[in-house]
Amino acid sequence: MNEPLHEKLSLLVDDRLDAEQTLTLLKTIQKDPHLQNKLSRYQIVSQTLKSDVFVSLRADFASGIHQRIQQEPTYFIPQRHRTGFLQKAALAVAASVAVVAIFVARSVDKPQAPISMARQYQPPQMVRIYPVDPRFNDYLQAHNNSLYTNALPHQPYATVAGFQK
Amino acid sequence: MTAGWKGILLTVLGCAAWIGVVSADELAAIQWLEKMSRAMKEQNFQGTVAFMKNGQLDTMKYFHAVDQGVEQERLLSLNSPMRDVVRKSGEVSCLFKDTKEKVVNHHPVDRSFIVDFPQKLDGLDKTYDFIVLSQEAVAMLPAQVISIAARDDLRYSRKLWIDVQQFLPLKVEVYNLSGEIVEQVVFIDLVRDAQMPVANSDLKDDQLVVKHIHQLRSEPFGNAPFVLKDLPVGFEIVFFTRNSMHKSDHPVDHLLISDGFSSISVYLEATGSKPLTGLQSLGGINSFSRVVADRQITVLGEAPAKTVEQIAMGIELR
Repeated sequence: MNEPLHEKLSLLVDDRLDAEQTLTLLKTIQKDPHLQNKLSRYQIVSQTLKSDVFVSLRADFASGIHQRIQQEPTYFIPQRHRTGFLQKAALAVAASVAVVAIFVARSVDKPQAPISMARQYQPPQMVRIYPVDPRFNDYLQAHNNSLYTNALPHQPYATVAGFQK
Repeated sequence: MTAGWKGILLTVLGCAAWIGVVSADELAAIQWLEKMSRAMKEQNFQGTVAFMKNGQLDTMKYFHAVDQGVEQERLLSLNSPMRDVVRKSGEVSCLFKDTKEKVVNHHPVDRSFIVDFPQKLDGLDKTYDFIVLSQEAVAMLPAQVISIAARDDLRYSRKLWIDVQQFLPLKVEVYNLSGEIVEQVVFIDLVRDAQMPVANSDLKDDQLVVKHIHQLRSEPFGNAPFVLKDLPVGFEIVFFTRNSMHKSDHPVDHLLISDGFSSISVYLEATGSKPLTGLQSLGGINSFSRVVADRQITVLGEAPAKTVEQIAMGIELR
């Protein structure tokens, strides 16, 4: 029973496991510390073989990324609606990357140069406006010439109400 | 001389030598930038440029020509909406070929489409470090990379890739505080053409619907109904004027300030039914709006969110 699991671990590290099996395997790994250690060793070997360089991550790498995402300002870029399948696949990949990152960070003793994450400045709550408020484009047009060099759907005299989709 | 004094002397000489090396490096970077500024104004050249600005990417054909001392830049879009944009004699016109409409923007500040570059570099070493980096190839041309690194977190850093033979800018990148690229202009190909004539659109104004905007005159900042109490170091007033905006005739006070590389606009107008408030972003552009009495204040520019908020919160009505 262990043999197929070891093979699946290897396939996971090489990114050759499909989304469904990845999720099942990750659930199993979550409950088994022995498998967690094995996965981290496979990850180290795989990375070393591929690049001759090994980069370890801090234990708070994933939480730091999450913190940075929380602090990201809101942009006007419209989001395309994804199908259900693509959403699930994206979640599966994100979950597997986060789990692997945590396991690798825990298992390595090498000192790592700190990744600068913290921002001293905490921006105020962003106001999400979609489509683009026309006044913003008026301000931009008076500010500089950059409005003419991008591919916004441009109506002369009127303000741009949205982005290309 | 005792060993102690020898040690002190060697340390002082070492520091002086190090300072000398750093100063020579900065001087060389500024010389590169000065040569580039001159080349941009004086040479005739053309190419294909990719612009990543305001969160959007577009490619355009670019032409720069000088005719009897008058400089002209022209951009032809390669993608819809088809635009023919010309900068000449202090005005920028944008011709929309599909609809045969033309907007003529009489902007009081004359700036190149390629890079916002100060008229003078004097005094900018207080807010930026100028560093010569390595050489790389851009558009198959050898280029010297110059770093313009901000000394504080109130402005963006930049890098310029300058053609080592003709000193023309081949690539410009602007970075936010996290080091991410928020704006990029890069030549995909570039040809210097001394004989290239100034080109004009084949459509005449009488065949187009033309609208002139921002036909304005600079006024003394003393005429402004507001004062700036918290101006970040290095920023100076460029112009103040009154504009009509938002498809109406109601006036909007417009103040432009700049630190040489980063420009920020301050707008003051009557509060409408739906005032803008808070922070908004578009690529590398941040804006912060607030309401004071019956006035809406908006500060917008190519600067970090912290900077536009600081300026906005420091505005007081006279």
